[in-house]
Amino acid sequence: MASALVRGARRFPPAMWGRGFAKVAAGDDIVAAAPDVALQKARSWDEGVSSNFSTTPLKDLFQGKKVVIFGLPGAYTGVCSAQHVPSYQKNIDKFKAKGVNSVICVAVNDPYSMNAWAEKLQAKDAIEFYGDFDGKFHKSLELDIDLSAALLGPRSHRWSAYVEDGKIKALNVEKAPSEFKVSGAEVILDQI
Amino acid sequence: MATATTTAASFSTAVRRLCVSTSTSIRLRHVTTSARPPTRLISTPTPHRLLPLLRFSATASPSSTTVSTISVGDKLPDATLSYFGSDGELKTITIADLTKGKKTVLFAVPGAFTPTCSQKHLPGFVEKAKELKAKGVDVIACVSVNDAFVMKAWKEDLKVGDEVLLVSDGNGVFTKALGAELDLTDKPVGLGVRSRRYSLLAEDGVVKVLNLEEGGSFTNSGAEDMLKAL
Repeated sequence: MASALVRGARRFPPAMWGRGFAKVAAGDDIVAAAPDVALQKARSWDEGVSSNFSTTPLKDLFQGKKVVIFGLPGAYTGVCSAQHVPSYQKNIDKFKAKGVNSVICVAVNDPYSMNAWAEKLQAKDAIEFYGDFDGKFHKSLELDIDLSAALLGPRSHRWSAYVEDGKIKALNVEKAPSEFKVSGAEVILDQI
Repeated sequence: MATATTTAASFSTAVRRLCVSTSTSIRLRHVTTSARPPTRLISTPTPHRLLPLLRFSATASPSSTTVSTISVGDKLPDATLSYFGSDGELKTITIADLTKGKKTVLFAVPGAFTPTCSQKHLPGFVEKAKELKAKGVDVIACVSVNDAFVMKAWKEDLKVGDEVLLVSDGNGVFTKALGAELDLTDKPVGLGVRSRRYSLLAEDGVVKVLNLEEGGSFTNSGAEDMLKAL
């Protein structure tokens, strides 16, 4: 572990310690950071057809609301399925008790895979799932990461944020997508 | 045609870190496609990084390269695909592995969990797998530009057994090399760059039969048509 810290220190200057990547930080407006970006709500194909494949602009998600949002590298992957989503599922009542309007999970996946995954995890009633299918949302926030070496293509870092009326109040980004230290529900609950 | 390979060692290292929850820092090379200030460091180079990282652009513009679309008589380009074995382990496999010295039926779908793919195309091949194998086909594989995790989930969702191998062309490299890309990025469906629907028969890696659809339509790339051609 000590060697990992040393490696980390070499990699990241102290000013960025605990912040990781990201263009945005606490205090920034998430909608302004990603103008003209929309996400696609996780849905089955039929639902897509009947909704004319509508997209959801960011301001609809954030304006006037208290939102907890977390991003992860990929649907159906290890840490994402086994730890990240369940941590939010388990704590949904605590979030509601603190006045959070919605808990959103976003990943660079198409909305159909996200939907199938959300149903598999039985998480759709607690959490809203959105697909950032072209990665634009994450790219705008500089939370994107190239996982082509793992044959996954462009993806997202693992991160979480608390956003109030579009203003980021807290942002936690893992140093590596396989880690799950700062982006879980417990950490952000304390930050609300 | 461009060949693209990753070393098995670097791939498995990268994926192992992603699949397993550990507290050690990852040695994946973080290369991003956006410009960053110099304080953001890339990890130190690892000695077994032999090849440049594959880059995949989700908003690939219409191809202006010299890759022509595959046709009968061509040798299939080699590429590395991924899938989950029955032991639950993430594995890579190359087109060469799938086709060398074998009669291979390869078919591609634009996307897992989409209707035609899920309701007609894949089930059709699962149903006809025995008949195809009785006609001398050694391997039947379904390719899609989805990651291996999604392919595995889709396979389980449709309860597909070992008759058809579901492989992931995660970075779209094989699809691009075939000239079979389907760019849906500006369509609202949310799929990005995928593969056109097709089915083909390759003997020792050389295409003998090819049914390449326009986009995602489903006219002649089904299992029955492949059976008739054999």
